[in-house]
Amino acid sequence: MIITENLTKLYGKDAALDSVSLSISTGKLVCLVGPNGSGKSTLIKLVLGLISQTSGSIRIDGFEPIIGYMPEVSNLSKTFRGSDILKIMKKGLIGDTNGTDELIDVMDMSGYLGKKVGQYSKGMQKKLSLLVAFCNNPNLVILDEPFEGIDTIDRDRLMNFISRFIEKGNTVLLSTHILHDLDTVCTQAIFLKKGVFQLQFNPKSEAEKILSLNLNDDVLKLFEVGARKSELPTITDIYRKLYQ
Amino acid sequence: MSTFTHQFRFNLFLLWQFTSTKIVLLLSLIFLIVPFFYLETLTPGLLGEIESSSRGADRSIEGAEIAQFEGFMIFLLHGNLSILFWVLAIWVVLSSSEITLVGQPLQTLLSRNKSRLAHYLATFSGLAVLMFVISTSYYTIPIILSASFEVRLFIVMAGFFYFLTMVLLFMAVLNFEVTAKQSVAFFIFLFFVLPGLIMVVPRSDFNSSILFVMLDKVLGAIYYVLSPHFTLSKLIDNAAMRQYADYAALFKGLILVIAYLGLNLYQFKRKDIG
Repeated sequence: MIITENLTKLYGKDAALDSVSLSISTGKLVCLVGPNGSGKSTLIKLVLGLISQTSGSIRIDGFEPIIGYMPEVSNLSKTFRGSDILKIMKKGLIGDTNGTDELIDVMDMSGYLGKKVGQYSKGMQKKLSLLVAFCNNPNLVILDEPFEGIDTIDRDRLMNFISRFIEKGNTVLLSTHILHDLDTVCTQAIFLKKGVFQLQFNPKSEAEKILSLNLNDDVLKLFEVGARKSELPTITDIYRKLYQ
Repeated sequence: MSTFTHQFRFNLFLLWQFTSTKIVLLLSLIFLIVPFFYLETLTPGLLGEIESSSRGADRSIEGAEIAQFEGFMIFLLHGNLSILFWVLAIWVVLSSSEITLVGQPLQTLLSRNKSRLAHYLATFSGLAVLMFVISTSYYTIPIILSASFEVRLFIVMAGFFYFLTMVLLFMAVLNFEVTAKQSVAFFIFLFFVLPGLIMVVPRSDFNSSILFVMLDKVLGAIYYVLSPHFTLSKLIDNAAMRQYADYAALFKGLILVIAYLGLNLYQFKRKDIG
């Protein structure tokens, strides 16, 4: 479990994250949801240790994470071939060098790995970046806006791959503002708004569709929880209510 | 395998992936091999003479002068290629930075391995190995022409420091925005305050106007230390021409390496790798 307590990150006087306390379950697909500037990427970078928090703490309990990461912008060297990048990453990362073969097939990348990254389209670069994230068998994969620039068919394929990855007991934490089909696969959705934690929602769990962490009365009324349990909201519903 | 060892091996592997590294090493190899034939053509037996003199045999003064003169001429010609070497060396650093100092590969490596210190030191060590190869081949001729082991060793060490400090300075400038204020303070301290103190305090002549002496010495110190890399290069020229190894002067290079390394480490520890 990844636990953050009063996590705050200031850039100058602006708070990118403001006292965020939450717990991210392992063995699940956890989605960080929020519009641009809500602090999703900042939270991810803090969890990864790529930036340091202004105050608060982060700890990982209960398992030794082997992390894979796909940033929003990958900055992969354009002078290398896709296969070179994967070879370098496999060599650079300690651990089992498998992990990408299945995804290469799923993302239909085998025909493109011989080309230089500079010749890739934006979507292809994104897919290569995904392959890098899954190098050397990680058990915790963190994906920052993985669906951006990827077409619908590849998005469905990726979702299926992630579902199978989760079934093996691994964890995926992804940030997105593309909510299509998230309800079917996401086990925990965390909503952020302007750096402030809003609510946590478990769409796959019928018994506790809404965890009332920080869920104030207004939000409860908004969804009329209790009165119409069979018509509890989807992630998209909550998104629209929270951010409109 | 420790993180450092793994990273070090990885960095050597990584450097080898770049075409620029291969070009630099090929040039280095050419610089290493060609002088042997070139020198033999110019002065038959010269290498043997130097070799015998380095074994302690009697050395002809005339022969030594010819060797030094020819060596110096070749060295000057050789020196014209320094810009090419530097461009290529910095190109290698810049290229490898894409993997080792920025972007998704670095982010993934650091997320997985956690230790920024080990990562940086491994990166530095990988570059140091490359710089050693480049500097040694670049100074092949003065190394060959030197008559004693001490002078050869001195040129190898000074050359290594010379190339290494340039690359480290380049990396410090590359990461300047991370520690802008601290870097300015660091450069003022390193290039102005420290040398000023070193040169002014012990050498002040109390019989003259103290202000004038201080001003003179400070200006001299500033001029002197603003070109530490040039100074290192000059040390090598002197060693090659005069066959004099000033080991004490190497400390200047060593201090510079340590200072830049410290600044690089500080920058890398503080860097937001987002």
